[in-house]
Amino acid sequence: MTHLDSELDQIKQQVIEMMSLVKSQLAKGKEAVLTFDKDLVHEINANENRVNAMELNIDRDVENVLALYSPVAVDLRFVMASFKISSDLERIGDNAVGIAKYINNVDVQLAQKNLDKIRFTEMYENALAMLDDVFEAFEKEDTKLARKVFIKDKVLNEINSNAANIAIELIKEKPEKIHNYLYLLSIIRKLERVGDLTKNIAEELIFYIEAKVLKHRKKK
Amino acid sequence: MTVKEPMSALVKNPQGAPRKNTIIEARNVDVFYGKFQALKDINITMEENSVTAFIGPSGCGKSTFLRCFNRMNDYIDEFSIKGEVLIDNKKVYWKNVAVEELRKEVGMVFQKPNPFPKSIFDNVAYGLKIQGINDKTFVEERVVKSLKDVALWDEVKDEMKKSALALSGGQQQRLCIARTLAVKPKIILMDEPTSALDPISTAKIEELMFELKKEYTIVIVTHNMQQAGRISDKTAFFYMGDLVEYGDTKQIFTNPKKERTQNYITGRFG
Repeated sequence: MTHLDSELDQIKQQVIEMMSLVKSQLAKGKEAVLTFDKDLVHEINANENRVNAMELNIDRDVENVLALYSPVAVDLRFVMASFKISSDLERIGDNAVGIAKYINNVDVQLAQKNLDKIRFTEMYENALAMLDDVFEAFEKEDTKLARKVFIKDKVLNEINSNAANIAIELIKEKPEKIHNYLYLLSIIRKLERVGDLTKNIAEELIFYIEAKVLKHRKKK
Repeated sequence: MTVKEPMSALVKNPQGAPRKNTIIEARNVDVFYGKFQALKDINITMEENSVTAFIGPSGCGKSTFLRCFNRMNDYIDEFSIKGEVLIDNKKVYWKNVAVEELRKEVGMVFQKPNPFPKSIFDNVAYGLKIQGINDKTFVEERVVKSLKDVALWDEVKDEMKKSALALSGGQQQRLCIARTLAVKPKIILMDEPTSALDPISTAKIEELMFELKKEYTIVIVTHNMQQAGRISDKTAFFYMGDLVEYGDTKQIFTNPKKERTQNYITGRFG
């Protein structure tokens, strides 16, 4: 292993560690919404600092590798991809914190039937599965796996586009709960954003491994 | 139909940029030193007003190939060549080629600066004088222009009679480039021109190449990957006598097509 290889491997391990923490943050967000557990919210908030610190560490290591090793070809693409992936992960982490924040703001637990109506669990599980796909794809350098997220993201988009009408129906039924339903809609919007960020990660992976730029294009 | 301009100036590529003319071409070139084959079936074309970098490990044949363009290999015992090397569509190894004339068109700069033990002025004027040009004003103008072209004029204008050997390494190398430019070549070959220079002198030569390619075609052999990336339009990667990959420098350094190229430029050669 060359000196550069060990530096790149260190960045890879850091990205994997950050992926695992961000996934756990998002999964805890789901749990918190379903169980109304305020301790979990506290835990998510505490871990947010770790996510931010990891992003800064990766930024610093990427800067060092660029300055000291002038990587080219696949190495350069890896460094560029890692830099962008860590930024996407940090924003996914922010969304997990944002979702958890609502537990402190809503007065009573959201009813399961309403969560089902808006397809909360289905959307959340899809978002988590997308994260699993890109994480495994990053570890195994497998672009087939990365491409799976493009299809899963369509489900998220579909749920998101129907969510506003469902929220309106719920508000009409119980106008006094308008705050709760607006928060619920906001969670759906955040999950849609998580889907987009995960898709960005998949695009970065494909750029790194296959040298193909998929951004702003129809996915194949 | 009336053609107002030469066709070469009118032909455009699909992106709309004017297509440059080919100035150097190699067709099926094999080079041997005795029984050892140093180059194997090399085919390549280079455009005028471009910088082409030859990269590859020591002994891969890149310097041998560079020296085919001005027949510097002729001095090596047991050297033989098959195939064709063309400069401006003329065969370099045609039996009636006057090698001195060829070298006027194809100048060369070497790894170590090699000024003559003469004054700065005489070094740059040397090529003109051996051509029999004695017009003092013409020679002076050409010397000044050449020194200005290599950004050395301001540093030496008050001491033109000083020995060239008193200059620094970086200045000597720029002087050698000026000496090459003075005879108005079409092509400048550079064999690791900055490997003996400090980073500031290296940066000056690299800046110079960027300026010079407006008027000249440059082919450079370098072991410095970053230098090849910074200065060249196209890069050719050689390995054990084969031209493994040749393409736009940006493509070679971001997405090389051949695994061997990738392994070499990323330092994982083996």
